[in-house]
Amino acid sequence: MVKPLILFLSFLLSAFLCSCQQPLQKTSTCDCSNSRVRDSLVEKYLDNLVERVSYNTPNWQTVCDSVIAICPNVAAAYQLKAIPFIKYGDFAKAFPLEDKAVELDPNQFTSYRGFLKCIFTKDYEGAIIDFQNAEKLVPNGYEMDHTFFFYEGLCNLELTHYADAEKNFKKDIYIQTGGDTTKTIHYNSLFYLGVLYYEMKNYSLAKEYLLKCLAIYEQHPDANYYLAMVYKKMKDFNLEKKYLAVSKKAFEDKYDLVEDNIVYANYPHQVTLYEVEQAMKEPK
Amino acid sequence: MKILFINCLLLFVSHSYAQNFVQPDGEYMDTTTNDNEKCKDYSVYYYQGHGRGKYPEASTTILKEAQSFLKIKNNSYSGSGYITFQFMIDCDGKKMNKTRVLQTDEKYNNYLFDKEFVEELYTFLNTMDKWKIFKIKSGESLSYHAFITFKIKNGKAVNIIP
Repeated sequence: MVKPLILFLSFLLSAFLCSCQQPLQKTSTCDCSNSRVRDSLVEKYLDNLVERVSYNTPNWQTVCDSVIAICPNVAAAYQLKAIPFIKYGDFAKAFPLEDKAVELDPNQFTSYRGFLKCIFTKDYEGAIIDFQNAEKLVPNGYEMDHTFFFYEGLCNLELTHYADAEKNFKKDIYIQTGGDTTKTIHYNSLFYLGVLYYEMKNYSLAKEYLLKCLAIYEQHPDANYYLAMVYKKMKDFNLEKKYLAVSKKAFEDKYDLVEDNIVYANYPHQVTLYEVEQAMKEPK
Repeated sequence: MKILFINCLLLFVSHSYAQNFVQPDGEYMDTTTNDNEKCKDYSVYYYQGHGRGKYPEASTTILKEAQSFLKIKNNSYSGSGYITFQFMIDCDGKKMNKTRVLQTDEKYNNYLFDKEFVEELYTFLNTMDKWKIFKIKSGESLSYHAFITFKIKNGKAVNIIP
């Protein structure tokens, strides 16, 4: 009880100092309407918080609550406060905080909430709405290394809105390259286009994009698996067997999709070693 | 004496089946503890350490298994949203009894699904037996926190989280 109080008071004091370098004598409260004040709170207490405090400890909540107590309009404090809830399936606690962050700073957090809906709660319709709104606020923006269109594509893929997904993924690639075909495209953009064409039963294009993905990241276990599935559909069982073996080896060597949040949530169409081994057991 | 006997019998039966217990920190399917004495609990979570503790099957595979399980039960339910079970996996990779349940609607507001539906999903959860053993660099195995969420649409399981 004493520790949080000390922490709170130290925040309060620091906030006064950071906000009131000149007007300290004029005002007794922090000027939270001043974006520089809010930014200084974020910079001092919330940036890189994960390096100092485990988000599964009460201290994490204390830091976020203390910042909110000083300035209730610091959007990042709500977003950070929600992290342990999101990662442990407590969505009733997480999303009101995410909504508050979006309300306070839509430019920064609309796409982040869309990302959570797309990857964590598989609320694909809700995620599409967020990403479309985010696109209006931050045209051609990125979230977690990918364009908003990439995530919209994932959502449409999962909703089986394949024509929309194709447009989204093409737009995602266009934003990455600006039309310059010599530029490297993110391997997971290529991977998901391959998966999309596989689902659309366009095996020729599926093969083309999965091979492009593997040209950049040859151990990509999911791309190897889906390429095996493409060859299975094309009745090329030798190549099916070959790519299943590559996928199995990649999983055993701990390769994965390489996405920031892969340890917390399964990405759309993501497979595991189990599915690869099951496919290997299937009679040809 | 007879009443005492019946009460004891009811108490025994109630422990044989999971049911919802409301405690100050939330609702539980099962509050019994079955600590594995050899396991150390450092309150780690499935995503920590160099071992990755998500259930080692694709979400779509778990979903198919859940749907097959529910199909056998052949009950129809309503409601849309999320049913989450939080629990621990011991250092032998076994799910421990104590299980918290969280329920929301599609907009993440607190919500209650049909108790029987929650019970069926919980029974399915207890059939999942491939949990990973969480090892730290020293090679020591630990108990860890895990969860499974069922995304529900019109009374049917349509996705699995994580």
